[in-house]
Amino acid sequence: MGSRRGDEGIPGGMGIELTKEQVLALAPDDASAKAGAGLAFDAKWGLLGADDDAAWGECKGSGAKPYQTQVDLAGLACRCSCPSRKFPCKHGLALLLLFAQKHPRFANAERPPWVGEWLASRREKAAKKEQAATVAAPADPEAAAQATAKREAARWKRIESGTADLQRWIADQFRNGLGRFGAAQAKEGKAMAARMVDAQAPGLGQRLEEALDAMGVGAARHEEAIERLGLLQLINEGVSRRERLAPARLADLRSAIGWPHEKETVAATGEKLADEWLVLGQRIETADERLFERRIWLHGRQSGRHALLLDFAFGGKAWEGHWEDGVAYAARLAFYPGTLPLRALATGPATRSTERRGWPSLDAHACVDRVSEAFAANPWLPLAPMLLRNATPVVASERWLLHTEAGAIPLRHDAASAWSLLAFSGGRPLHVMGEWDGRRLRPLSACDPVDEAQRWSTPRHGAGA
Amino acid sequence: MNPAFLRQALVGVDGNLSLPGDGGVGELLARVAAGGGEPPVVFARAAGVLSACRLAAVALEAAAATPEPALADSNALPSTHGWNAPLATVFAEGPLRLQHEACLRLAAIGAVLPAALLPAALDAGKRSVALRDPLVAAAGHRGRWLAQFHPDWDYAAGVVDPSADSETAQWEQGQLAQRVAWLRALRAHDHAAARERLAAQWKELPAKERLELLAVLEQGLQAEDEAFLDPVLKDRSRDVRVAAARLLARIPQSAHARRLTGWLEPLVVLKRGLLRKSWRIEAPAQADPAWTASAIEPTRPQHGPLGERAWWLCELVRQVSLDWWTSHTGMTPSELIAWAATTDWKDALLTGWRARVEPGDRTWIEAMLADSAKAFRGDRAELLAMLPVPEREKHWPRTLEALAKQGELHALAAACAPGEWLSAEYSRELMAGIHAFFASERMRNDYYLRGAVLELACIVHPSSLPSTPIERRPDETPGLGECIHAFERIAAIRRTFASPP
Repeated sequence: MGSRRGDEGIPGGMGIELTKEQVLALAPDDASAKAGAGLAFDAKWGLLGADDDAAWGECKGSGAKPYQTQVDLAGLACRCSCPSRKFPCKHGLALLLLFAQKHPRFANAERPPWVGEWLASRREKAAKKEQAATVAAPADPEAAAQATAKREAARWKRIESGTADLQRWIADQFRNGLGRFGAAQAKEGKAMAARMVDAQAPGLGQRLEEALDAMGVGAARHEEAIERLGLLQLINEGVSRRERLAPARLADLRSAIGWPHEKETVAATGEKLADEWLVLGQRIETADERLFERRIWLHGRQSGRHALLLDFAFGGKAWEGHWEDGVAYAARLAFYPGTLPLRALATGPATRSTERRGWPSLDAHACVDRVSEAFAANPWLPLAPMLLRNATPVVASERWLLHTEAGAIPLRHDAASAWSLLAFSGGRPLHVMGEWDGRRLRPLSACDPVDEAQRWSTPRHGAGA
Repeated sequence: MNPAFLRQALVGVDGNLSLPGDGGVGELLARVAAGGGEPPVVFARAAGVLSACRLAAVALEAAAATPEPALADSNALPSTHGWNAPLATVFAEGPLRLQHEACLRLAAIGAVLPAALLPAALDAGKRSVALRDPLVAAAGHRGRWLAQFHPDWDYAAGVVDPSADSETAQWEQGQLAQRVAWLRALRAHDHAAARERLAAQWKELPAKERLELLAVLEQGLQAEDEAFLDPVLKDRSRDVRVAAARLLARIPQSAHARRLTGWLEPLVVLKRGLLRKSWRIEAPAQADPAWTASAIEPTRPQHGPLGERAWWLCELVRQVSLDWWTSHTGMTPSELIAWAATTDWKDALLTGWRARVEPGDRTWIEAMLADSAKAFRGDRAELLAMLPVPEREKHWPRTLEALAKQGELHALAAACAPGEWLSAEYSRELMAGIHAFFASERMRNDYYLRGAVLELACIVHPSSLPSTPIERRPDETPGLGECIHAFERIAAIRRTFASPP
């Protein structure tokens, strides 16, 4: 998912009853969870209070002035005056832990001004955003459109000079032969990937890194490297032929480059679809411990459509919406344009449905057809969802596979997740949902076909590999 | 990918570009080639087209056979059970003693671990050998099934279901630990049958298994065992020879025991002085060639603390049954220990006795633990561990403060085997002072003491754990804060385990 923009999640809490486990699940890492639990006792807190919208407290730190910690209960968003870059910080977690314990000191408190100001600014921001999404009418539409067109033309120009360089580099590799690819070429490749970021085409940088990774492994993944370089070349040519592409294909190209449409534009002009969206599975991953990517896969009950909510957050920012695996939410989604619209965002609040829904699995043959069609529609698609019926995880000579009636699907190896899935299956077939990347499947959730209430979800966080 | 295509990519694309392909893909590639351009660029484009074609036609390899599924565990802990969360943290973070307790608690309610916790639990068993027996039971069919796929979890794989119809399956097909347990159970109700089972397989067993299975015979050792044990003195493995010799020495009428006392008796003699009789001891003057056949090592280790003669004496003493000493000299163990100090061979005697003493030699252990027996001070924890818990507790101060002052808190924990707890009464006495203890300067400053208190939290009787939170002070050190947090976590988990929902 090429985009590296910081996004806002959907606003609004979903009426979750706060428990200790849920609070600890918000922790960015184990160290924060531990430190937070260590601060969740009375004597550390000079001031504690809460009302319907927020909880706050003053926590004694090493300095003279206590840290002011506050939580917007609607979205469980934390803010703290401490210098920590973690989010939520240990103070925020400790405050939530005390709150989850229903500590008596939270009762009947009067909201201090610093809490009121922050809440007000949050509400204002949210209101503005909604307005922008619905009204999206600039003061002078013509001038604004002209400015946008000019900006876009400038970016295309930079991208095109980047792809020209990339095309030359790829051609050089094939001219010299990948058999001669060595450390010097890998170094050049790294520099070329950085050049793509400078050319405002971060998606190309990322794809080139993936091709270099495949080259680095040697003969075993040569074919993959060739294919990846070939797909990059198709993007290069797409960029030079962009004016002749259909709008949907142009949108495919833009997301492959890492230049997705603005959220506001998508919210205003994207295809809208109101449905009851079942959360199939989700994953948060990070390549560098700073930028986190969250993917939530949805399935619409009436429409049968799949949707992907893709968010990014830097270390200092939390995910706003809380979507629970296996739960359905009534929401109106706006889809990003493309030949196969998959990525979407929620416009307005998502309402949690109390009804449990069955698992919308497909038999393996139909499922293979569906992902084939998805990649046929857009070869640059990073991931497509797979919903398999009767799939049995197996490990044989350190290879992880999912056995289905259509054949064996290779799995993306992530040790902790793979072993827990195998333990969950006990050798019996499961309904499995996962992300197909064109070569391998990463399972995100599963359930027992006999008793669908028995569910498995992949561990929440993972490395970007 | 077509081999000709792959080869070009590897050796380099020159002027003579060829883009082989069959059917629709071949036609597509022909169009790419016809499009013209620099050959390497055309080749890259063709690679992209091939890639897009492959992505659009997902091909899977044929499904191989799937392994037999695990037998169902009808007693797996349901996901709604209140123990799930504490079990998850216990297996993810430890400590080991709580992992042990978790397994025993599950066994007590007749449940096995839920599938979600199995990988973490099997990893815990990989790290700790002591945990394996209870863990393999707690893992259930599903856990033992899962273990076969991971080399690190081998210890739990291939364990025969204890409730298997055929009882002997455990002996014939089980893993070593299971075979030991099975043989021990048999030995408990039929001494001879257990010995015969072992004798029947003895020649096929590797040394490690011989050693562990031989130890089973210690239980209910009797004269009839001699016929089996005596030939084992010639075993290929030195460890096995020594173990057999130890057992034989405890059968008074055995040839081996008689040989030993035959060597020792002339060395321990009663001398008549002017006023009273007194016992004297001499070390052997030279090595006896017959020793080797009795698992006595005549060559002293190069850097050992004992001289050559002292070593020979010690080798005899460490085998001869302790009962021989009291009956031969008429002295009590305390008297013997005091007497040893007056002889020239004190170190040889004390080292030998220490090596010989076993949990059954109660009066010897008590004598070694007595204040007067300074030589055994360093072994307190190990000696105490040989006593049953109620006997052991009599040797410790009754308050935490006194335990800490005497530096005994670690020894107290070290003497408790995993799964062993202090008595409810003693636990209550200790825990009565826990709040004051946490507030003491000692806990603020002593890192090791804080570690010992956490161990203690795992071994006191759960009913004694404080139900009121430990008082926190705003000026507490981070180390103490962490310790209090960990203490309360352990206490909360143990209370949960003590009261099954």
